[in-house]
Amino acid sequence: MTRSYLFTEDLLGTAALGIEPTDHQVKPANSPGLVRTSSSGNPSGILDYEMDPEIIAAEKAEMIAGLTSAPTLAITLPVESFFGVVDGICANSSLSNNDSLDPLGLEWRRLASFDPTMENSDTQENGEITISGGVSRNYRYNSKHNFRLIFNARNSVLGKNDWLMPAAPFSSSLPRMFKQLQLRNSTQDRWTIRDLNASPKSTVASGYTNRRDRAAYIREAWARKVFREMNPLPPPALNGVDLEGGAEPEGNLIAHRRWIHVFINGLYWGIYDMTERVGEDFARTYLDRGEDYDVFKSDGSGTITNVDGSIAQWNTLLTICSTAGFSTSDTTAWEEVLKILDLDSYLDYLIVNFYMNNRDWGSNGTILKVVWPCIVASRIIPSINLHFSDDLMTTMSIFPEFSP
Amino acid sequence: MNGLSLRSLQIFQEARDEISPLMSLESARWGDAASEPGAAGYSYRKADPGNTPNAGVGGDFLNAADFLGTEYLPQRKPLFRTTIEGFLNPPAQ
Repeated sequence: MTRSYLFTEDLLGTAALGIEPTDHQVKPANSPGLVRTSSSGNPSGILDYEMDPEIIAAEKAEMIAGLTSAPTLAITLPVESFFGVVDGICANSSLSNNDSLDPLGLEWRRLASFDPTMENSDTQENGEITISGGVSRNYRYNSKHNFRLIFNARNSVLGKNDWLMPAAPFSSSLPRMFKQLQLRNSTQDRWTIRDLNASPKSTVASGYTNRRDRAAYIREAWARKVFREMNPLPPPALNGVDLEGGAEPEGNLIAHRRWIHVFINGLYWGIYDMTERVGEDFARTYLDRGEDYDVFKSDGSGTITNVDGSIAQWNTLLTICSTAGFSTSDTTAWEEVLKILDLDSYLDYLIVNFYMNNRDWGSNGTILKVVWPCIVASRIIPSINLHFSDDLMTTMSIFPEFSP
Repeated sequence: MNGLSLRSLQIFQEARDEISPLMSLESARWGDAASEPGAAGYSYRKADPGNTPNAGVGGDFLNAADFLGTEYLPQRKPLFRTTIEGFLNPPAQ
């Protein structure tokens, strides 16, 4: 167990914010620290952990205000577990075991202490941390990796229960339980993505140009909120009974998010989009806590994988959609589709994707366009909801050549 | 359609207001992260007084956010309508 105390007035200009990281923060014994990699894959120098002193000098007052305008999450773990060449999750971030749910592999989860400072909530918890994501895990493309925090780890030696935040970390008034949380740095809409075919501040030319020039860190936040507001859902329930006493409906089912500051072993690691991880516990939190849910998602190739439960209901939906698609005059076939698919939610999903002109999206050959969503299906009352999980970032003309 | 467009702009402004106070910190920590090692790379800033963006290209947070709020979203509405109408009324084979 650890506790972290951050004094904002003292942070800027000290090692705590990484101007001069100390060896014990970033260098395991007998290791030079993380090696920086060029876009061609060649190692060159050591990764830059510093805060830019020129920017601090110019914008110090705004930085201090910014530190208090969002919650913080201090993560503490052995330096070898994070930076170590042999055992560190950062140094080995690009490894892959072809597991779409745990791309780095279960063996690359590391024990850590999580110390949040949020509204009315400073409950320290132990758990595990790993690096998540696809191409973003490769230093050639990106050095600010996504993290996943696990509080009910499958292989945890802690035997921890779910993390119950005593205050609302997102928007609802009820305490929420989380088995996992994501710290997202959505790769495309960020300054940290490296364009292999473009130099910084490139001109608009053929091929992919510099998307960093259009990074606004806004695209996913915008899309998630628009989608939620389009189709109100009833408030959370337990066996059909409203749990929140007539609270406002949540809206379309989608993971909640908020910006937080992340410190790793006292080193400022930047802002992250803390986002719920979608699974059966997520569905129970926002739908009915007494019900069982299947949750499945598609990987980058369009293959559907079950996160919880089975994908049987999804396969059923695809079958009857195909039948309906080939018999457009047969209303009976479409009625079968509507018995399973939450049509309003699905249409909202399509509208937001088209409105954003999503370029990382497509068709899997069925009448359902499902490349990146997570899907939540009730086992008791068949109702499949499609909602966004990740990857709403290659949108809104992030590439200048993709006009509105 | 008007409802979606107007509310979408409000939500955009809310999202911009949420992230804006944090961008100076992000720029100091990660603004130059994508530069090639050893190269004189560009360090992204919240507001870069020396930024002379190419036409239609942002270059710092404020320019990039302005592009979304004043160009992309306002222009997107009629294009989105055309896209949807094309799906609903496909050309005759």
